[in-house]
Parts: sequence; C-alpha cells; structure tokens
Amino acid sequence: MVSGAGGTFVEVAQPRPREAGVAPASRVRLWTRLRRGAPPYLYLAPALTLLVVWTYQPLAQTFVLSFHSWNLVPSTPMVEVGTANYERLLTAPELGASVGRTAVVIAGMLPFTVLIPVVVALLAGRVRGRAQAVYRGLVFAPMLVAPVAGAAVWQWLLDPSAGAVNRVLGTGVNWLNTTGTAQLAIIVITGWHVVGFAVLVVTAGLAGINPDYAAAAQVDGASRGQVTRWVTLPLLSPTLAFLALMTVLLSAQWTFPLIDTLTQGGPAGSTTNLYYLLWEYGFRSHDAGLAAAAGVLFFVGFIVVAALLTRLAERLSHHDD
Amino acid sequence: MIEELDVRPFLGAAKLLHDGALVAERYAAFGEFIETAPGIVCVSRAGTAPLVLGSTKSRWLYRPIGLSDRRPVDCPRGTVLPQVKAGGPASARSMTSAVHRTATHGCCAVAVSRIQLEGLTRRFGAVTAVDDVWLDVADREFLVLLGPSGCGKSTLLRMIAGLLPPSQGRVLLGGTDITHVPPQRRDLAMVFQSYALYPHLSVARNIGFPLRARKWSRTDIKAKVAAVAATLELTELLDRRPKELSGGQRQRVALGRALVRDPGAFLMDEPLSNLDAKLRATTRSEISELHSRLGATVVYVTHDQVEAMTMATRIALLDGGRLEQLGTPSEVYDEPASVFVARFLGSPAMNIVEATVRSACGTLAAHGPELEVPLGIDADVPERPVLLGVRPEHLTLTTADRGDLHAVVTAVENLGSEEVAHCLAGQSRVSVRGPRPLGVAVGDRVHLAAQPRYLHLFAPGSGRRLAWRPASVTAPA
Repeated sequence: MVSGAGGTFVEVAQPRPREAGVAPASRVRLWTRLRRGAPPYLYLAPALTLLVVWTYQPLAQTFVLSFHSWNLVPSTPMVEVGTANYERLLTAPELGASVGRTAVVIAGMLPFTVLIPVVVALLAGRVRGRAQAVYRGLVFAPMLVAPVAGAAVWQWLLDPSAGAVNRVLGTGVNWLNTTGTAQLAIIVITGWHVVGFAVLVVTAGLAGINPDYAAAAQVDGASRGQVTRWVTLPLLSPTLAFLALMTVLLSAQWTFPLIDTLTQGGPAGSTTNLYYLLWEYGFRSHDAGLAAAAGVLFFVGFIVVAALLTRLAERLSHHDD
Repeated sequence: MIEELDVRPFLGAAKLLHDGALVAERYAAFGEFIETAPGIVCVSRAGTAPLVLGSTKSRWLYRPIGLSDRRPVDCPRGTVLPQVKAGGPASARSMTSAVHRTATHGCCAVAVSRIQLEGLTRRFGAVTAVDDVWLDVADREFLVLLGPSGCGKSTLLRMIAGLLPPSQGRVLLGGTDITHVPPQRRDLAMVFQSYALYPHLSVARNIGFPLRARKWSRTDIKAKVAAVAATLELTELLDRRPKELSGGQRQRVALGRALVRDPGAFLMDEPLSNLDAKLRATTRSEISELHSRLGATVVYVTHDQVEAMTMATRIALLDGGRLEQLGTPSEVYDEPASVFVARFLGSPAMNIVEATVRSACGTLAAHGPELEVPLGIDADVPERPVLLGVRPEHLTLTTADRGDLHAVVTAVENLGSEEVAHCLAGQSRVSVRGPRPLGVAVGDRVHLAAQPRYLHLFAPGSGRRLAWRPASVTAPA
C-alpha cells in the first residue's frame, strides 16, 4: 500500500435535493376543485345545449319514429311496426334511381366546388392590389343571394319562350321541364350559387401555404406552371379534399331549395335525389315512418362516406411546419 | 447533323460539356470540372468569356454565349482538350488562357460567377429597405451580408435571386445584366432560412427537384441525387419526408438541393439560424469546407458576427439598408469604418467614450472626464470633439500613475476562460475583458490603459471613422 500522508480519491456526488422524498400532495377542497374545473364546461354549455336540442334529440326521435307508422297528424297515435318501414324502403324502386341521381348531382357539382375555384383563386392571386378584392367580391356575390330568390330569377332566365338563356344560345329548350336538361339546370344553378364560397375556401388554403415554397421552386428552376403543379396544388390538396367532402355530403342539400321551387322533383322524377325523396315521403305522402327510416339510412350511409373521405384527407395533408 | 443538348441555364455561368469522363479526370486537379450527369462534364469558374460546349454521341458542339457570333461550330469526336499543367485552383489563370485558346478552334468553356450590384435600391411604400447598394462579389468569393434584423440584407439577397424586383439599380451576373431575368433563368441556388423543403416530397425528390425542372431523365436524376446525398451523409434518409428529419438533417437536405445543380453561385439566407449552438459550429465549418472544395461564389446572409468572421472572405455590413463597410473580416474588425460597425462586431461591444482631442507638447491626446489617453501621434492640431473607441480586450489594468482611464467596477462577468469587468468612467460605461481572474471586485477603483494602435477615433456627428493623415487634420470619411 501507499505510504506517507494518507489520502483517498472520492467521487464527487451528484447534486441532489437535501431532503429526499416526494412533496406531499396538497389536498384541495372539493368545492375549490369544482370551481376551478367548471369554467370550460360552462363556456361549452350553450353550444352543447343547442346541439342536443336541435341535432341529437331529433336524431334520436327520428330513429324511434323509423320503427313506427304515423301520418304526421298530432291526434293520430303512432303505431309500432318493427322493421317494416326499412323493408318497404329497401324494396322501393325509386330508391335506387334517386341514389343514382344523387351521384350525378355530386359529380356535376365537383367542377363548381373544386375545379373552377382552384382556377379562379390561382388567377385572382396574380391580380394585385384593390382589383383583387373586387374580383373576389364579384365571385362571392351569388352566395349572398337567397337560394329561393336566385331560383326565381333563374326561372325567368330559363323560360322556354322569352328566357335570356335560350335567346343567347339561340335554342328553344324547355330547360326545367325536359327530363334530360332539368338535372343539368339544377346543377348549374347550384354551382353558380356555391362557387364563390368554394373560391373563398381555396383562397384561404392558398394563403396558408408558406410563400417560401414557391420562391424556392422558382429559384430551383421550375416554371410558373411547374410551381403550380408540383408545389402549390399538392400543398393545397388537404383543402381540396375538404371541398370534395363538403360536396359529397352537402350537394343534395344545396340543391333542395332549387328543386323545390323550380322542378318539385320532376319532370317525371328526373330531379328527385335522396333528400327530395325523403321530403316527398314525409311531407307529400305523410308517411313519417318511411321518411324517418330513409333519414336514418342516409345518415348512416353518409357517415361511412365521410369517414372514408376524412381518412383520405388525413393522408393527403403534409403538416407543413 | 448536330443535335444540341439541352444546356439552358447559362446566364453568366458557362459550362463545358463533353461526353467523356476522361476529360473530367484530366482537369480534376483544378477542381473545375463538375459532373452534372453521366456523359456530361462541365467546367466552370475559370475566368473569362462564357462559352458553352454541348455534346452528342458523335460530335461536339460549342457555342459562345453572350458573344455576338452565336453560330454553332462542330468538331469531330475525339478532339482532345489542350494539355494543362496540373496544379490546383491556383493555376486557374493558365487554365483560362488555355481554354481561351482552344475556344477559337472549338472545344472549351469558362464560367464566371461574379455578381455585381449597381446602385440596388428597394422601397416598400415609404420605407427604403435597401438604399443604393453597390457591391462587386468576385468569382469564388464568400461574401457575408451582415447586419441586425431589418437592415435589408435578406431583401438584398432576394433581389439577387430575382424573387423581388429592385426599385432601382442593376444586378449583373458574370457581366450580364440579369435585373429583369426571372429567377428560373438565373443560374443561382438559394438556401432559405426556413429551408423551404417541399413537405409532400421525399428527401430524394426534394434534392432532385431542380433537375426535374430541367427535364433530366429519371436515371440521371437518381444517380446525381445519390452522389450529392453521399457527400452530405444523407443516403440513409433519402426516402424520408422532411417532417421526419431533425433540424440539422433538414439543413443538409436544403444544402443538397442547392448543390445538386452545380449553380453559378449560392445564395444563403441565414441557413444556420434554426440550429442549436453546437450544430451551428460544425455546420459552419462544413459550409466553409464545401466552399473551398467547390470554389463556388457564395453570398451568405446572417446576423451572427461569429459566422461572418469565421466564414467570410469579405464582409458587407449593412445598417438601415445602407452599406456601412465592405472588407475582409480582419479589416472590418480592426478598422471599423463607423461606430455602428465598431459596436456590431465584437463581444462585449467596443467601448465608445466622448472625448476631446487636444495637442500638448507636440503630441495628441484624447481628454475627457477621468480620461487622458495619448494617441501616439506627434502633431499640433486645433482642438476637436471625437468619439474614442477601444475594444474591451485591448484595455489593460494598470497602476494609478500609468493609467489613461480611471473607472469604478460595477459588475464582473465570468465567461469561463475570461472575465469581463463592467466599469463606469465618469458618465461612460466601459468594459474590460481579460484572462480569468481579472483580480477586481465590484466597487474597486481601477486604472486602465490601451496602446495607441488599438485606439479608434470617430466623428461625433456622422459616426464615421477618423483616419489620421500626416500633415493635415483628418476629416470625416
């Protein structure tokens, strides 16, 4: 061993709190905890109440109603019929046709909610200054016109004898009363109505894209068209997926006021889509049970479609950070 | 029949194209050749008239760009480039003349990546972000645009890139006016502060993007991207998306996207500002190394004086959109042209004290409260007010009778290897920096001295440096 003055190496200890142990959990009184926890729920309460009263409660009632037979007259009692309404609905010949028409409406609406808005928003983005606001305002204006008022004006425009559309096109088509053209007219009018909204959504989507990407692509040598195709549109895809989702879920609803004022589902049922069919069951045939069954079925169907589209949108988004 | 290759992006930067790797080998010693694709070799940045040589399987084609005679001349396959003595970038000049000679009978090219800014000005409404900046960035130079935030350095860079049109002035690349050339057609690569990696594309597609825009074939892009990724150690990450990368990896991808094109010059906008301190230091030396290896012209924007001092061949200091000083790092540090430059570089900032220059017994000295500093100049001049500057590391603690400046210590900072003492001399704050321990404590009265060669004089009004010219009194620069 080493001789001489004694000594030893000691490892320097790691810093550590002088009193080991966990600080005692301070007990907070129940009332205090409640008072601290309550505000978020209080803020939510009005919205939740409205949601329950106007959405979830009617939904539950519809579900119950779909197993009953009732003619909407308050004095008549509801009769429980089991799944008879669903059986009638699924065997009805008009259901398949109306699903097909709904698909046509959705497909016909997509150019107005996705294609045209992208083109318009990209072009509007190149306009600078005050002209840009004017341009966007003009595109958005139809959205502010009440659907029924718009429908009345369009009825004049599409009039077979004196309408402006026929005069401009030099045709004599009875647009709203011909099976082939009635659906087209409904789609175009609805498209005219919602295109401004879609442009607004796309413009917001474009504004959310960091301008550095386009700048980098330009410096990298991409032409204007390449920047749009390779950078801007891919980064815009979450917005486009959202618009497609809106179109699929809401097209039939958007067309409803126009169908009701212009064609009432005709001619020969050629504009009767899912929602109009449902409405006819309930308020024309006064078959509330059948209408409720249709409502429940459409609700479930659209939930499935929405879930699929939402997952698609999730996969498209790139979480730009 | 001669089929011309697609060799478009040649504004200012000319490239020699040849279909044999042999040529690349022959000239590799110069660091001039960059292989842009299998079968295509470029020579760049050697010095004079930009020429381009394209190649096909059987014939060569050269065409002078920027010269009046644009007729293509062909020479048969197998034409050998002139023998040039190997010797590294230093013999670029002999290379240039050889290239020039050969150009007359048809097979060479030279690239110039000199960037000239002539009176560049940019106004945003009433605000002048960049105010009449004249700069001449030589080929192969690493120029740092340095200044505080809002000084216009990024605006200046965006104007060079073509992303922002100047309100006035011209941008020249290799002697060609590119002021109105869109960014797509300028042969410049840019690294953004945000990196601007395309979030929807993989690392490989991000790096290959500039080549895709140039319509390279898929296989060529793949080979080139793989080569660039290997030099930046990104090979493992090629299939990842930008969001799956760390900050340092993103930075390297951004660098790779710039490197892949072999551009005439690199523009970098604070590329290190999003990295942590340790990574910043290593990346700094990597970029410096890259610069010396490629011999590329770089214009680098930063607000970090350490980056500027360590990387730059020259620093352009900007303040309020104006060019305050242009010089090598040591020039800018040792002879700051204004109070702004003096205080911007160095940590802690240079001490600036109000004083009066007076002559006594035939020598000049700066006088002030608690202050009498000999300037080491033998002359007799009328009295004038000045701002006296001296860096904290140039002040030394001394005894009362030898001190030029007398102060009271108000705080002492420990930097580990050194200590900084903050003092009050009369009304002026003065800091002293020296090896630890300085041996002073708060409240001590200290006596400070500085050698005359470390003293800086500035004009009180303009803040410009006062330089001493023998036989006449200095005037504000």
